[in-house]
Amino acid sequence: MLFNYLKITLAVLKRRKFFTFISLFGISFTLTILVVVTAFFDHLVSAGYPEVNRDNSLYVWNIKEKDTKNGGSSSGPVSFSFINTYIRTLKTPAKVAAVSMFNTINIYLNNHKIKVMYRYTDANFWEVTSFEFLEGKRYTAQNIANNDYVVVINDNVRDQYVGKGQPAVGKMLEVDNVKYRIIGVVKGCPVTRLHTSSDLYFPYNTSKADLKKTRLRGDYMALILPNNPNDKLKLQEEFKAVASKIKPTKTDDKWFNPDKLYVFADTYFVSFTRELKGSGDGDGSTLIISILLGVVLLFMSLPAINLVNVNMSRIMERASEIGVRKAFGASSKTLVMQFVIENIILTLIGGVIALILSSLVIFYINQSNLIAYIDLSFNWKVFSVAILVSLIFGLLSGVYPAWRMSKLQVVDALKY
Amino acid sequence: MIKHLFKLIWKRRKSNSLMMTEIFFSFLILFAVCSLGVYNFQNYMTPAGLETNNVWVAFINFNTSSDTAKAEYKELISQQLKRYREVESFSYTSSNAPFTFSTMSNSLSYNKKKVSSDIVSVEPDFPKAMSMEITQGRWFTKGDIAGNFVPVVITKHLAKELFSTEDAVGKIIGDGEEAAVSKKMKVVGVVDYYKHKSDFQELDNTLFRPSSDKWDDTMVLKVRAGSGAEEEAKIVRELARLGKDWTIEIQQMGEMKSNRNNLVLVPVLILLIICGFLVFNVALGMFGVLFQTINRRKQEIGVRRAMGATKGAILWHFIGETAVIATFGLILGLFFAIQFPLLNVFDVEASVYLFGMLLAVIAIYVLVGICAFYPSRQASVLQPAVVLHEE
Repeated sequence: MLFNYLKITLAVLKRRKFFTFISLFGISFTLTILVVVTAFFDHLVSAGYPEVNRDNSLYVWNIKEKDTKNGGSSSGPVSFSFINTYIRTLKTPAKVAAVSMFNTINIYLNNHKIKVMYRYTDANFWEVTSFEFLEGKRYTAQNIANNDYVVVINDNVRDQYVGKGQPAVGKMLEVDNVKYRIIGVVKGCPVTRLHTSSDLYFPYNTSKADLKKTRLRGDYMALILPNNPNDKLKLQEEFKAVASKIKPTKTDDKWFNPDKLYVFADTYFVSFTRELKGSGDGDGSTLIISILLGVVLLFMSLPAINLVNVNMSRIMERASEIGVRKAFGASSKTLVMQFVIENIILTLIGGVIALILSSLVIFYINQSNLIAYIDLSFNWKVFSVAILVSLIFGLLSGVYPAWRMSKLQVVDALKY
Repeated sequence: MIKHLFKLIWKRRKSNSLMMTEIFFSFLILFAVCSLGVYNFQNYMTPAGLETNNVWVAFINFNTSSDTAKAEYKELISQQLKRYREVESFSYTSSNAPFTFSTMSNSLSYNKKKVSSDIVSVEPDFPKAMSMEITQGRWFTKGDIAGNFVPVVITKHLAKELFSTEDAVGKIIGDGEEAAVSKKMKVVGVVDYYKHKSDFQELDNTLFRPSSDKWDDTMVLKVRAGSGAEEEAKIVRELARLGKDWTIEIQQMGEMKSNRNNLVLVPVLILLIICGFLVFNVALGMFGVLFQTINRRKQEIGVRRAMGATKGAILWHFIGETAVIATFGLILGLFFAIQFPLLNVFDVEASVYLFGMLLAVIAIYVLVGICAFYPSRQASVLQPAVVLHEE
């Protein structure tokens, strides 16, 4: 029986090629865009090389000081001493890494320049992240204690500076008239990993800035990885208690004298939503998620209406078919079954096309080096939800009118 | 005739409601895209007011907190730069030099009117380095700085907001925050254009004030044409040698500008592609649905033809019907779109929205026309004898 349905369906789809094309185009194209966009989003917020523990980690990188009287506020990354004073002293066992915001600098090499990103980190940085070392090794607390001028570079810099496939460890790299010994080469990661991506990693002892200053604000972020993944909430609570005791910076500025201070240990995604839309103690994540969902719904609405519209007019066209089959004794159930199967098959074909298209697009983006080291992956969750949604729309718009029609008297159906 | 068409569609509004909704949504999307396009195009067409060719931006960090040392170091660098033949002119600026990502703004007041404006601190040589033209008055000189007022140069846009039609040169501005503590500012010159964020920036308020000696450690340099990485490396190396803790980075302003432009262009292009496909999708759908409806109304067409309607009349009748359906959708869409200029959303000139609406309306009609033409032509060539025979 099912095989029969299949045959009928394919015959119908072939009969009106143009309509089939419209429906397929709508379904497959919409799904493709959705999948590619969500792949990007997923790439931005989910764990990935080298931050494989992102889901268990907490981030402290933004401290906001507010002057409630004048209404001014100022915010930025925390300082190195802030991390030492308030985060490394937390009781809950966890690894705490300090890493600076990235900066860019040019390295000059026989009259051409390489523009590179660099960061300063502590030794824990390599514990918290999972960088793959192509050669050499990380710098340790011992290197920092010895005040060694060493650097870890990524493979991209190695290829340009030393040459492809050449051993780089032990060679010297000159930046700003200071020579650093290359101690390790890591596989690079995309710039979208905002806390860890860089071309050069220097141990913090080589930083020219004064790290002993006890100001709250500075140029550093803290990556916190609890020893036990279940300790995340406990850590957040503990840090909250510590943060509530920190006094805002006293300024002698009468226009801006902060009296409230906000700093949180957040999960990755929340640390951004707080920055974008959070206010005071609210983290803004619900707002951002609703905005994103709203945009997706708006985008989906047009193809959905289109699908419904096309489906409706196709059913009208097949009124006589329904009438004839009813006259020959087909029950409503069989008729509805047929239309359900038809719709499912059409949606699935659209889904397969979308699968191929979006895989191609994702493959192309990963290949094209548009963003170096980017690693988008196909998101099955979103894909299945989208297929489900198009099925629902298809069934609503294709099966429901057919069912209504199958309830009609044969005479009326034939007259349609 | 048109009245008759409207009546027809209105009577069958229920069966056409899906089409209308589609038109309505498509219009809103097109309206958004067209407005965005018009807005960016208009801004792109205004002159930039500055040259980025052969301009470098140097980011200098002395890594010291002592203000006196900073002033000294800055002087050292200035002296050193004067020795290079490649460097034609240079000027220290605050960190919000053109096409950087930092902004500084403040509110200015004149006659109780408060206006917010970007504030850039620069040296007297700045217009030379950036090839800027002064349209009224003059740029400030070293001699001005010691006077009773802080000499400033402002953009025409700011002059208009502060003094409306009056002549700007010679006016005294009280800066909201500093008026109490420091000297008031006196306008000595006006520049017409200064697009320092991207080529797609709208004309905006900018105020140039003389650079103070401790904070401003960004620098713009006009270099001789043909100076490349070699000269750059040499200059950076020699400057960095002057102080062991300094970090110096040089960027090409042209590259910085194209980076900033891409930040505007790329999202717009992605939007355009997505909307293009959406609209194409809708057009295909409409095409199919029209085909269907016309197929269903064969008898009506037969009767019309038999009663003496010409082919052309049938063709125009169906195109007209579709246009009327579109009009209903558009009326609804326009009702929403008109709110944007009325409520002054995003602070954009009303003309941008109106132009966007006009373009979107034209686009919808063209789209509908194209979609309706082929099925309507099919309808008009039907022979009444054949069609009515089917009964």
